Amino acid sequence: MSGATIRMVVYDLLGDLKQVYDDADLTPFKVYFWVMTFADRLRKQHIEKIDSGAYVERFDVTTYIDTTTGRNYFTLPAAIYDFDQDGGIAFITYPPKWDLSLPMFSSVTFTRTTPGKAARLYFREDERPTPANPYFYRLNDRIYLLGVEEINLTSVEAGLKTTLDPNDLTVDIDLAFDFPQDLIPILKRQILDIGRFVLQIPTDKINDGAAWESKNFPIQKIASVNDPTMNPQYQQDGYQQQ
Amino acid sequence: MDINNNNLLSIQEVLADVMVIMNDEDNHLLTPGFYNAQVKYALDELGFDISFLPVTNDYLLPDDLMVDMPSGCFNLRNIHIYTGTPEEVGYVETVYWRKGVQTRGYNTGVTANVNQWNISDPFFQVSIDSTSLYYFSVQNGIIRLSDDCSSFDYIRLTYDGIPSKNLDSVKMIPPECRKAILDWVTVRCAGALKMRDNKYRIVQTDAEKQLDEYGLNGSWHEAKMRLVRLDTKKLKDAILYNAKLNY
Repeated sequence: MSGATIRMVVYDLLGDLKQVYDDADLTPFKVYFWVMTFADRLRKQHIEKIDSGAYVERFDVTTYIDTTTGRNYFTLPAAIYDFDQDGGIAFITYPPKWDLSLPMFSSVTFTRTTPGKAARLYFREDERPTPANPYFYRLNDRIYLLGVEEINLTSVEAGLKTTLDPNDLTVDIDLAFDFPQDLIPILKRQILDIGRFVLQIPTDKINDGAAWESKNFPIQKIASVNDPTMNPQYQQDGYQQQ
Repeated sequence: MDINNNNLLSIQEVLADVMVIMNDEDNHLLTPGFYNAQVKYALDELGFDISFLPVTNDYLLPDDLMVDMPSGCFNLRNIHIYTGTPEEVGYVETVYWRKGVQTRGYNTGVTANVNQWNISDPFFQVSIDSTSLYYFSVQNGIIRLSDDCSSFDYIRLTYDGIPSKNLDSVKMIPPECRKAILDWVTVRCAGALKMRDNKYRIVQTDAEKQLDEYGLNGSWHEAKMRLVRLDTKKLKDAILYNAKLNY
């Protein structure tokens, strides 16, 4: 993937916000966090709208058997977008190594279902979950597999629409930004908006009690207005005591 | 026309079209099994409307002369019993249906509305003094043959088969009715999805129009006409036969 790197985007924004001096209010990490958060949202909308495999990542995932229920499952290897009908999962198939030995599986993809809908699948022979007609359903970060109970399934190949993780500090910001290039102007605009808003917030307020009702209490020593020593105007006008 | 097994198409041939029409190439809307089942459903419906799959099977005559109705049979056409083997058929008799007969099997006797000997009935007296009566009745899904059939070795059943039960699931679509199956499956699949998204109602309506299942102006009727039509050879021979007035 080519295009702008995350560093380029972050420092471009810092420059636009005039935050490139020492002790600036906005740190690069803060802008990085904004970039990743807003980019993730825009990226989700983009993937949902555009029918493309550009943002599908392939994983070889190890499958396990739940010792309590006996169900086959695997844990999602990365966070995925929560699209309608588990659309964050682009495909799940048998691993390629199986395809060589068992051609019948080569074209088989796992079909999505839910625990509630799965019961109906057993009503008809054509739809019954089998190794040649397997299903999956998602429960939180686990993907359960139906129809493969009778075979020794050890791994699956999964294509996932993964998210940008703003909390992942291991991201190399000098690699190409995994984000649609044509949406960078929109991303910039959104971050400039939030940056400008943040910079308009007054500087830290100190709790000096100014908002307290007792602020009108005299804080200076009470002195008489008739005291000539306290009223220089008397002295200037040459007022003499009778 | 006779079905040529070498021409049969796979279910996937039809589904390749249907899934594009439904915008469901990745099966995110309907399961592969659902589509498969609809194709079989369509084929069976067509088979019930116009029998296009004659099936012939031989069964060794059991001692009790009771033969289970074969799986996948829905309309008996012929019953013959014969001596010898299916590879070397000897003497053959046709077995006729006898109405209203009940029996528990070979040598257990017979009751019938019209009994073989009923000379004491004041209203309806019958006396059929005959041997070699080869008949059958069907009770509880079992073909029961008359006692006289016991001298034969095999029974040959010819019947209309339910397509999905008799054809190989790999290849089961006669190309003559491919269009009708495609429309039929589209109607059903769109119907299944219209509760989820109303746009499928349009798809269903369009496909229904092309199918015209209960009318005469659609692919369903066209398929039936193709299947019922005689092969040209048969037609010519039938015309020739009739022209000679059977002399």
